[in-house]
Amino acid sequence: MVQPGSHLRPVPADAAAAPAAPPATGARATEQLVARAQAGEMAAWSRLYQDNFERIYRHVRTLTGDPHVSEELVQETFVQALLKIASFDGRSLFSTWLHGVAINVVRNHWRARQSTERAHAKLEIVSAMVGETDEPGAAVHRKQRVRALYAALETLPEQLRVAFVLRDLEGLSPEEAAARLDITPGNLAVRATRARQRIRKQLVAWGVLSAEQEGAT
Amino acid sequence: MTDRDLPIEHLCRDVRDVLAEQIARELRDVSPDFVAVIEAAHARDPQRVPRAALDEALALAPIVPLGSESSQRMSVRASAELGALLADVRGEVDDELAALRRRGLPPVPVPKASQVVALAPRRRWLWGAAAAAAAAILALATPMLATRFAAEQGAPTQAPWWEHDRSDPGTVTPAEPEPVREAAPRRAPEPAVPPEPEPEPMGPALPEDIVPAPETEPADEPVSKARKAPRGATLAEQLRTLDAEAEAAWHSGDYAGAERRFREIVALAPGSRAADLSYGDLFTLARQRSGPDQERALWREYLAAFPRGRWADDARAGLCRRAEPGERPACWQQYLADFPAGVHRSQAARALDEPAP
Repeated sequence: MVQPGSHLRPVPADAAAAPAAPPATGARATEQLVARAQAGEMAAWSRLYQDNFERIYRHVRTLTGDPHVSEELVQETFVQALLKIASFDGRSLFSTWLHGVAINVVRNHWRARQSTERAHAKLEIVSAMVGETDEPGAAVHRKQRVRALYAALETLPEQLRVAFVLRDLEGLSPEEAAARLDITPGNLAVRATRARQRIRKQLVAWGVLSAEQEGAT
Repeated sequence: MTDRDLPIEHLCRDVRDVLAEQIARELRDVSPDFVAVIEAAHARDPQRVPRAALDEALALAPIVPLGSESSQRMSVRASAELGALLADVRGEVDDELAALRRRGLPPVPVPKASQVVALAPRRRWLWGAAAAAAAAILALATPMLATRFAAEQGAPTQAPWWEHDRSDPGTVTPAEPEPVREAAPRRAPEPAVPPEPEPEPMGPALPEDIVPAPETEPADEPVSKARKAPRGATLAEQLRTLDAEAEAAWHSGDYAGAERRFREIVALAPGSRAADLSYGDLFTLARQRSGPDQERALWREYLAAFPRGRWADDARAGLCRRAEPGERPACWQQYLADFPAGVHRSQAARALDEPAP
């Protein structure tokens, strides 16, 4: 059955084989689907894909801030998951494991596209938009702040970037975020704090945050 | 440094809000493609993901519709726009009737007991005139509605994909008239006023001739009779009711009932966004209840009606996947020409790179 939060129409888990069978729900149903997927059953994979697509899209989109690459990276996440499913040992939830796969896919994407020119181009964009103080409308202002934050994120090392997104943008608890990264909650907290400091410093330097704000903690 | 950092917290709150809006919008247009995932995995590791798995996936679900919740199927704004447009249409019908009255209605003899029977045909005439006017207005309004909804979802003018000018893939031909729309007159014919030698002013004794009594049904109801809605229900209300019924039927396992209602939506508002969305549900139902041939037929039917609709990309790719091996390259080639930024372009490119069978 469709997981909570999914906006897909409910489709029986194995429509072709047993269209009238009542759909299973919850973690137990997911476990069964994963077991069937590990055995190579495509109907089970189809189900897992359908149930998790939206949440993985949200995750990847929040990590990258870029709608143009997110869909492709989500597809890549599922490709990787399909190829690595044998390594899933059930110690964590399937969704946690899948989010971990997505993070690795996004990291690879970041590494592949990293270039000084790109970072500089981002900087110029941010500088230009910060200078346009007469931009009308709160919505425009909010979008500018989003772009500025993602530009600042691009200046961070991957580990800090991911920690910040999971904690501060996705709003995960330290325990959840740590589980996704397979690190301790303490380690996660250190990374998130460092990320905040560096982002703040960068945004002050660009004029997005004021120096007074910098001190307001 | 404490753990609280208010400026950053405020900024993150703003970013979360903006992202939530953007992601919700994007998810309405995203087209999950499970088969593409399996294909990519098979291409990288054919041992782990064998050809049989790909075949199984191909038989499973080429199309997974998104954005099908009833709340998303007709946005508040779209409903409001539709309601406003229909109010305009109703106003025009009223104006037509008022003009008819001003011109003078046909003579109405003072009723006598022996003439009561003759009253019915006259009232039918009045209904006929009103229906003709309404049909004409709706015939003009329906394409306008379709255009409005198409514009709202950012779709270009719809034209059958097989009629594209090959020399200019970006050019689309004008839309083919929808079959249901063809049934309605293109231009509003003047209400046929039967010649009456001596018009007489209407007497106050017959107000029901001016405002027809509600117990009579119009002889030629201008709107499709796909569904008998409660009296006074607007088209938007009918569509909402049908959608809710379809969803309820679906949840209760009555797939045939759900399919029937989605079909009714398509018939009731051809070319509309509601019809476009209903096809997405029909695809899913067809996948569950019908064979590959019926699915293909449904995709073709959809593409004939919505060559640039929200599922057109998937439907075209689905047809290419199911095409005979010898026809696939040409099919994918045409897909790429029509959807250069399509979500299945990677698969199309891979298919074209493969050696011919």
